[in-house]
Amino acid sequence: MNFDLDEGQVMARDSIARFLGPVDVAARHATRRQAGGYSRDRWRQLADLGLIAFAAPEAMGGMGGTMVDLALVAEALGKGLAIDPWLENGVLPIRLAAAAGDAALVGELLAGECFASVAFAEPGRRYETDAAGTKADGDQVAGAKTFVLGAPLADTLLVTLAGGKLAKIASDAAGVVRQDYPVIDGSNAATIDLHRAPAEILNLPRAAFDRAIGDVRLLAAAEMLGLAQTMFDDTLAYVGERQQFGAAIGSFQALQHRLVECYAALEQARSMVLRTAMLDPTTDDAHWPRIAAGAKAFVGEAATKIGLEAVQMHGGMGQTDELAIGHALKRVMLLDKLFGDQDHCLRSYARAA
Amino acid sequence: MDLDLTKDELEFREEVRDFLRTSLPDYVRDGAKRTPGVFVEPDIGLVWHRILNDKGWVAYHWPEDCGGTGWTPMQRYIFEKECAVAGAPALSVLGLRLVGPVICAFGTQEQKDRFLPAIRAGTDYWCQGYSEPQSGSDLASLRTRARRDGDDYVVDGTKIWTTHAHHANWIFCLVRTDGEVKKQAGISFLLIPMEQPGVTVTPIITMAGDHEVNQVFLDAARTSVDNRIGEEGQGWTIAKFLLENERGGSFHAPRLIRAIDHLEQLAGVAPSGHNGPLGGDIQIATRIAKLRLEAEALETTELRILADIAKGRPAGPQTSLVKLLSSEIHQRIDGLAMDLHGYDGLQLPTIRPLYGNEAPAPVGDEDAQVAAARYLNSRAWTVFGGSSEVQKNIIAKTVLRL
Repeated sequence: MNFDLDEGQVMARDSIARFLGPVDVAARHATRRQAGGYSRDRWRQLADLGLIAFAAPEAMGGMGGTMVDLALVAEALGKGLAIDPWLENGVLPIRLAAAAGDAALVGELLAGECFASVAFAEPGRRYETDAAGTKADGDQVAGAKTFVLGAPLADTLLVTLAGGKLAKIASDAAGVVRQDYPVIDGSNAATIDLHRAPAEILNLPRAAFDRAIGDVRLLAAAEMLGLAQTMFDDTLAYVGERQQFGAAIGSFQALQHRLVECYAALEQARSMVLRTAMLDPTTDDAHWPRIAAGAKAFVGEAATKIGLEAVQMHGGMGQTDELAIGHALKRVMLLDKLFGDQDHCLRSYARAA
Repeated sequence: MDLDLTKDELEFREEVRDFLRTSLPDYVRDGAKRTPGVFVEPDIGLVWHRILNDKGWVAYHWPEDCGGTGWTPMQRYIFEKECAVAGAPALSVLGLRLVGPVICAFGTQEQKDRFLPAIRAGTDYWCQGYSEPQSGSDLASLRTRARRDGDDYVVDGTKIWTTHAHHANWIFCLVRTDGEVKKQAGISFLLIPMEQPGVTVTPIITMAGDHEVNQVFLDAARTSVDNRIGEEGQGWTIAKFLLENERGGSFHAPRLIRAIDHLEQLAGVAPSGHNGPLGGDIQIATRIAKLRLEAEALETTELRILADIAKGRPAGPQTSLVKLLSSEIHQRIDGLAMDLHGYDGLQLPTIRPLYGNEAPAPVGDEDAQVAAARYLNSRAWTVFGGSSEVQKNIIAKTVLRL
């Protein structure tokens, strides 16, 4: 048993920290004001760091990172309050492309040349991850999708279909009707209606899809862990500085005990992420999405609690859009629901246990 | 980063499993299961204690030159986990985990020779004189006084919440030997024989109807100066060493996870009364699931601390974190057990013990019979060894630097 990072993990963590730099809220606002709420140039830089390739299998030109490697990347991105949609537009598409055997697409994705969005959620089906109402008829696809993250920037849409299929559709193809909207972390999503849109249909067996969902659930948890760490660190620093009633507010026991509860929740969340990532090699694929669901529910609860306490303890300043903690909380709120909220994930975990 | 055991560790685990399979008597396991208190009574506990001592494993966490096993932290973890899984009783911590390590660390050779073999053999049974009626969380304010009289100390005062004082022949006490200095600096650590006219033990019956704790009155009780551990005034340093052992000396998660497994099995067969088993109720299932996640995270938190200790880093205030978390999980488990048992969970037998031939018949599932007593007794988890509020103060000060 060992909890040490290996050399490669330390390098990845440090290079992510350098890439992200200190949190710059003004720069975040500027990036979010761009069309699509993000920058394709920046996405290429992220790819140049190898962070997308990390999630792709070696056989397809990727770096074949383990779940521990990937969880540490996600945590580092969270800790540095990355604006980058590494999880939803990097890991998820590349995992699905690899599972569907499309090596060419994997290559384009890991180089950052192609930006893909995954359309999996369907209106009226809440957090169910499998497709029901989107279907292929020959090489044309019809159906409706919602909450397609990053869609305004995408070249390619990967659309999950009923019956274990995945459709690859050019985002500007005929029959694709997109309605963009801003979401809570400042990025953009879209609802997409597909009216006999021309597609390339790939096989994506249910088990392979579920496996990928397990992966991204755990990585969502890991990113929330990093975000929670940052919110906690910022809050601890703030209560040491902020003076009221002639003393630092961190000297008040009412706040101290709540901060200790946040600290305990943070340490437990870290244990949960590491434990689950380390269990991957000895867990069968059928069980994996549910274990990951449990981890995500657990970490989501902790990160939400820490985020709300961070906002409360920052008082009036905590209400503004000028602090890192607010941006971190909004990202946590998105990740907490992505691929299933706490209730959904807990149910899934409880059924598995 | 991995959770793998080495080949040696896997072999050790097999050795422990074999030992438990062949050496843990059924009636001891049953007694442990049917004991509502934090640790078992001597009638069960000393049986297991002596079996472990015969194997050379009873004081496994002591230094080797004091009769310990020289196990690595990982071996200790494996041993405790296997004991938990096998349902072995939690032994009294007072001799083995509290005063034993203190004597190993601070005692003279004569004190080690006098006291340690008798703790290992189970011939001395210890209790702890820390809290007083007016000194709970503010332990350093204690008033029990010891004055020198020739080669003896004469001790006056009272100690309270003294677990198993009615079974003990020795008590280790924090006493004030100097009233003139800062309160922490005037405290000394004395070992006092219980069998003397100056020591009186009065039972305190807890909410569950259990007699586990007592008040101990010391009226001109005498003990030899040779029975002082460390120097006069060193008691507070020793007390803190002991409290860290009390909070962090053992692994909690394996027992908690086993208890959750047990609840889950119970929920799988207990009728919901309307439609299938209770475990099919999503509210119940998710409560169990949340507890399991918390306990599994705690197991990893404990392993992370263990990995630090194995590298020679001190565990220190991390023990407060584990104490805080494990106490709360304990209470939540006992709360869920009460709920799973429904009306049957409200039975509260007045007869003890709840094992053996004289035990009353349970109403419903046999676990239901101990559920209420355990629930009530388990309120103490967040109080003894420093309340949860005290643990939070410690973490705020030493970890968060507030």
